[in-house]
Amino acid sequence: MIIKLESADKVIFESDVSIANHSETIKTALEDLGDEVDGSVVPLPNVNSAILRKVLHWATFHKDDPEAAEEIENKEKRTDDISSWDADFLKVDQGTLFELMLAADYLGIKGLLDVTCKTVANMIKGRSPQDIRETFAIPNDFSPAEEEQVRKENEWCEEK
Amino acid sequence: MDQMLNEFCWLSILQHLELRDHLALAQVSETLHSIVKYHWRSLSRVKILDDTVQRLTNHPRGMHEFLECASASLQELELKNCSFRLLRKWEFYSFPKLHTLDYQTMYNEDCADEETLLLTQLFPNLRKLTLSNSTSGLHLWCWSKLQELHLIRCDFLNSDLFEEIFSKLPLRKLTLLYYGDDVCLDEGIFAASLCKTLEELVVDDHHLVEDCLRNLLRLPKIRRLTFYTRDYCEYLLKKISKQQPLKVNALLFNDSFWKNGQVAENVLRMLNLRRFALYDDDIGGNQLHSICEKMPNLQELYLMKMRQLPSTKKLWDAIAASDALKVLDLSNTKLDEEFLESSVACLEPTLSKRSAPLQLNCHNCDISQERILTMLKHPKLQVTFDPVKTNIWSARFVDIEFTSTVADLKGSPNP
Repeated sequence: MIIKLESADKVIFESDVSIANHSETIKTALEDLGDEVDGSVVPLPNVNSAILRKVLHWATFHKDDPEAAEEIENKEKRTDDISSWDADFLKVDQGTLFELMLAADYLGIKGLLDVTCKTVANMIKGRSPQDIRETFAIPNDFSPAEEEQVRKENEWCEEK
Repeated sequence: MDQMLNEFCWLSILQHLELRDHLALAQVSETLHSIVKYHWRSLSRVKILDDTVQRLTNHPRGMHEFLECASASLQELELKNCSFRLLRKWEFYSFPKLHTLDYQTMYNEDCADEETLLLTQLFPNLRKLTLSNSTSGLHLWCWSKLQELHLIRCDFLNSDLFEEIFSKLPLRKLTLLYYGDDVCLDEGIFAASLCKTLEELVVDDHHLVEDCLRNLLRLPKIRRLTFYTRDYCEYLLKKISKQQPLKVNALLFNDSFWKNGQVAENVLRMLNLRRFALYDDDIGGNQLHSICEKMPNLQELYLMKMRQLPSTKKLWDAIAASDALKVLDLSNTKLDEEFLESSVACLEPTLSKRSAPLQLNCHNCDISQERILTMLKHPKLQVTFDPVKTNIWSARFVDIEFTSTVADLKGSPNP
């Protein structure tokens, strides 16, 4: 069965229900519609059309993936097991990568959220705070007093 | 970027990072600092390895923040090469939920027992401890709830203390490995037989050469004995095959069978054997045939990552000799066209008289699954390609599983 999804910028996408059901959010919306699902449009106000197109592309490729087993809470998760297709799919600019992650979170697509998190984690691993700031253009918003405290502590350690 | 992603996304990213990276992120911005601290408050496991120890040493504020947030929730901790001096700073915190500790330090004979005492005070509720340091064994008995004790490369153990340790702790699993090539701990290991709760023992083979093996095999709950072996594989198998042959339920040889005729003879006395496994090993065709033919309960045969299989005909003849066999697993053993072609002619005589189908598992056998499925077809053969879970924790060892209750032995033939 084909269903219709509407992005934040009012673009309508048609998708097979088996693909759309990878999203917990869409699945719940379809269940709520019940018998009225035929011809209805599911609005997705938090995802723009460019990102929704990519999300549906990802979900189509992964449509036959088995449901991920529930991972043990808090266990440190691997980041070296990203498939080559996913790695190519996520060769995008940082803004798009973050939007995909937010969309995966909003839509409740665990597999996509997981692989985007791993990609960002790999960009952070082993980096210093200053490197991370520069890589992701994060402003240093610590107060001067806090900065001074960290600086002094580091100096004290280096002297020892 | 810290503003672009929501807190949930950041918490998901943090789950993929080690403490070393958490500490770096906490210094990036005020927002990330708060999110990292929030994540720490629900952290249940953490690895603190060499470079992270160094970082905590150099950034005490980060260390105190981490411990302040995480100490109440931590359940499992891996700590490597932490100095005694740094560890003493942890005394300000309590770790009420910590039940599993993996603690390794380099040579520290001067303060090892003091260090153990401190560990017992910091983490009083341990149920599982893996220790690799210069401990003599003193104070280990303070962990009154300890069920698993793994002493790895503890070169300064004093076996005079073993009686105190093993008689007081409710151990279910004990490991004593890589200790003293020239030291026989037999009397020390004998003390382990005071531990009536013991279910599993992993030990170097040379500590078992005297009389303690008999007592260990009589422990009421013992169900697994694993020994890292250099010289005494044949000797120990002989003792077990004489003392408790019918208790042996499963055998795994990792690089330790070596077509040894005496070992094969000893195996043949273990008539309740249900699972026989070789890994990275060799077995003669006639030896395999005898084991299949004479073990009435043999249900699973694993020939994994074999250096060389018996000839294809001998392999299938051996399978034909055992009607009880349900599984033949050749995972990680290199199969070739010749094997497949020779097997085709063997399938009918091997399988036609079987009362039940045989499962042949061929995970990672260096030949395509399609090719195997095309060649090895028979109504009583089910070919699978499932990965096998095998715990190959070291070079050269023998792993023996025992039936431990009378019920397990029901239906077994008389000796």
